[in-house]
Amino acid sequence: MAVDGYILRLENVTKRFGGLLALDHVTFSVKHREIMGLIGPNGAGKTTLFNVISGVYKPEEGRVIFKNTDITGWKPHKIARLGIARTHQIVRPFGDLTVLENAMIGALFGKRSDEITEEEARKIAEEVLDYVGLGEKKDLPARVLNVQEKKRLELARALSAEPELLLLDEVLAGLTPTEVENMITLLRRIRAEKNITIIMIEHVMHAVMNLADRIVVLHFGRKIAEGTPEEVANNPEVITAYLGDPALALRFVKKFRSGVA
Amino acid sequence: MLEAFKKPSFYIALILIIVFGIIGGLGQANIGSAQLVANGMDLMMWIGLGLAMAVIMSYAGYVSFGHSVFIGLGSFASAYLIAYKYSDYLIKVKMAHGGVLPAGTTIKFFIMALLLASVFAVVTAALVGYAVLRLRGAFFAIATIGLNYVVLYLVIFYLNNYIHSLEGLELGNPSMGLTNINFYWMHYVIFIITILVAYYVRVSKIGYGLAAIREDEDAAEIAGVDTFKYKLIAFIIAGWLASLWGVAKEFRGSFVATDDFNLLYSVIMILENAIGGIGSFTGPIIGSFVYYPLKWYTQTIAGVFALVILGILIILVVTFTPEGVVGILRRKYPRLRKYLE
Repeated sequence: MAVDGYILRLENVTKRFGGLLALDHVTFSVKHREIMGLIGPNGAGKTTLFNVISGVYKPEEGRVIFKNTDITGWKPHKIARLGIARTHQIVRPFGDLTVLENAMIGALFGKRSDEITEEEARKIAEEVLDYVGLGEKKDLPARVLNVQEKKRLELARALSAEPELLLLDEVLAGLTPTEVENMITLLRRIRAEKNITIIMIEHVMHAVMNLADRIVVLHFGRKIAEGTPEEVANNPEVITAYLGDPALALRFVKKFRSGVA
Repeated sequence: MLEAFKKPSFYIALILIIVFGIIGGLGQANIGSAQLVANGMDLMMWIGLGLAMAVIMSYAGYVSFGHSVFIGLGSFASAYLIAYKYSDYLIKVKMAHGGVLPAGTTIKFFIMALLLASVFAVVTAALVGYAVLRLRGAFFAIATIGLNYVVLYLVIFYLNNYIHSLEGLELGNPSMGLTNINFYWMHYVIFIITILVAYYVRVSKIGYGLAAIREDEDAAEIAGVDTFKYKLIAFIIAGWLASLWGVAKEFRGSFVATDDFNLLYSVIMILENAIGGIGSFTGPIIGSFVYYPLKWYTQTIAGVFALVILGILIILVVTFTPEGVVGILRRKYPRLRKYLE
């Protein structure tokens, strides 16, 4: 953990694609072990931000600081080994490999990649697969899984890397309401039991309002708001840009906060 | 490292090493036919070449279409040593020993050829791989074809201008006075090296990394796989192994180094992997057991039409069984998976 209590700091991160300003001087910090929600309309730059953090894109300006190390412009595999894992919005399982092998790759090349043995990786992968509810399917090729299972596999591969920071890119998208509830339960468990900081991009409002400690709102590449779910739901600019109906947003917050606490 | 060789999937490798050892033993003791030794040698070479290709094509998903360049380099390295650099010396030694080269000298030169071939192949693969492994799919394949011709014409240029060989192609055979069984054991040594290396790469951590690259390179990188380094390692190993088979071909054949740059070798190596199944160590082995007898019989029966049959086979395999024999076996009999690494 960083001395100041922040595990990740973004300073003026700016990313352009030709004339398009995908990220416009985005600055925020994520505290150790908190869940940070990242919301905003489609095309707001959320996934681009993840791509900058995980090293897929190099920002034109600004810095990404993870645990006091400036990782701006590092290659993705180096960033992964430092302890940042992510899932993909559109699932990307290694289809021909078994579910277990998928998770093992997460472990073999994750945070402890320099020292981990195959046996240890297998053990971690099996534990994580049981944890996310894929234990029974571990010997199947990943391509035969359904959407929900593939989302869980993405999560398993990321968790097997034993990351300190987990970037979740719409893990709830495309799931049925029941599946969404199951996934929320799983995320809540991860928060309670594992020493992991999470940033989650999510459009399923009741989930993010309920799970997140704080929320950052992006709109056209700019950060337009940051705060607790209640603060964000009441922010006029956020309501205009994204939420639409403040009463509905607040109802989500109240319902789930009281329901769970 | 040793754990890798204790897995059930190593049984197939072990069985092959034993079977080809027995064939060699029979040949050495003059039991069984000379044809068996010749066929055994061919089959070892095709399995070996299939496995060399597998490391880059099947494990990592990069089809090295010009992979024959490494066979050519290995064969050129041997031809250079035996038929040019040390040819006078070898003839002298041969004369001094009543026209037969002593076993010690043969072995020494075999090892020297393997080492020089390895240096050529590793340096070429490292330099070229560094440049072309940034390309993906068809572009990588095309770049390797270019590589094959660049190196071939450099070799021809060298032969023409520095060795002044008559046709610029042949170096002339000093005839080391070796028999087929000697060549068989040379093949066998390279066979064991190839099997062990290709197997180890498949089941070790490198193998996991390469499989991830084959399935989704960007996701692999984000999962922490140093994709460029792993692709480079795979390309160097694949090139190195193919170059060893160039040495085997050159000792057994008649020192026509440039013939070994023929793209047809690449095509056959690719075909073996396609028949057997992408992504596995067993695939190219099964592919060789399908391809070689078929080639042998069609050549006997059909002569030049053997290539027509080969072409048709490629079309059929790619159309109807893209997952290959191993893919089908794994799907139908999941229990076999642990043996079919």
